[in-house]
Amino acid sequence: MLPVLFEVNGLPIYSHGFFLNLALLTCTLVLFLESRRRRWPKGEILPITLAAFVGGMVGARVSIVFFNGWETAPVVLDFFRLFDPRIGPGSILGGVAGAYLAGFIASRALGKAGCACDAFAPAMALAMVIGRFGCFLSGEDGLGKATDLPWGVPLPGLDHLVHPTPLYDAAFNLAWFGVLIALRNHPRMQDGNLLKFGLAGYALFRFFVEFMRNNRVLLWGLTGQQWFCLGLLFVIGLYYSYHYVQVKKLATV
Amino acid sequence: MENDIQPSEQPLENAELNPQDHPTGDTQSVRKYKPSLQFALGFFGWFIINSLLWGSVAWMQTTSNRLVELILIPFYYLLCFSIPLNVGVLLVLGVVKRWRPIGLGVLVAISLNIMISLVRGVFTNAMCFAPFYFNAENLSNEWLDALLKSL
Repeated sequence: MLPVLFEVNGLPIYSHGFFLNLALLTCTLVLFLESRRRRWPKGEILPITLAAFVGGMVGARVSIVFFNGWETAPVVLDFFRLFDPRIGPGSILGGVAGAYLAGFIASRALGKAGCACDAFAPAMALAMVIGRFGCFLSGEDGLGKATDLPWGVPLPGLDHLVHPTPLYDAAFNLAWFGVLIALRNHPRMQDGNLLKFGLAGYALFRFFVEFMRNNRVLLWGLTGQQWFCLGLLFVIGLYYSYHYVQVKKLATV
Repeated sequence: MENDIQPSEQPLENAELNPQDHPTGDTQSVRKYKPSLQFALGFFGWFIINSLLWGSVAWMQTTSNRLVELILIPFYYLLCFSIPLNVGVLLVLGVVKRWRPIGLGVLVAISLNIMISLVRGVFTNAMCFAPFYFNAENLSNEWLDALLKSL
């Protein structure tokens, strides 16, 4: 583990914060390039991206009440703690949900009929690749459960090896980024479908990787994150079922 | 040339700007000035209102003057709903077309603060909620804790 990445004149640069900022910068860059390629009007990029950013940060923070319990509420529900640098942003799942919701509302408020959010899909996947290195180097949440697999890693204070789950996440997201880039021009992956597909893929992966993580079990042996993933998959499944029925109806008419 | 634009060709958001409504009749300056003024109102207004809210509660926690406490109690309860209040106001400002520049100003103000805290997080070991488990005593929030217990 390497919680302190390096020092500048005795000032420690922590790996978690460093990779988080690097991830956000990469996300912005990929988003900018993708939106330019998609000829997304400049007047819409800024408000939608800012809304997604703020929504993501609020979502990441507020979702902690669901994932970590009501005892976190005094800090989580205080809006001004959002600007406290001693506290990390929160859960990526809550962040993704908040960003999607806020981006969607901003998009509709601007009067966009379709969804320009597909530009976010590869950007978010690549950002998670980078961000997870910070989680791994800082040993966040004890990384994972005990394992005797050859790629298990030691953690200070533990006498056993653990699953390097942030690296699993990073590896999946790197592959997923490639898939999303390959599919971005597919006719069926337009108008928000690429983002929904990207989110569904990550939710499915995250559901299984949660069995190797140390998160709090909420109900029936499943963690809050797993319930969230199931909910997300259900909502996306419901959307596509409805969409499929509508298309079939139109075809018969 | 923007001056050559006929009234019927003007963008919808400028439709209500009538030269007769403005003392100088200079619609172009109004067009340029008004959204930026609204943006500034949203941006600086957010700082002023939220500083008042946060500052008044911080003051109330340190003061022993009963009268000051009584005056500041409404702020105290407003702060308890700071997330829904900020998000709600942002939603209203974003949805109502006329107020959209104010909403953008508020959005930029919040984003700027979050960005600053994220950059500052590079110098503090701010993992995702690790402080809850390792440094919780420094993050205690008595007023909200008491309110949540009373619910």
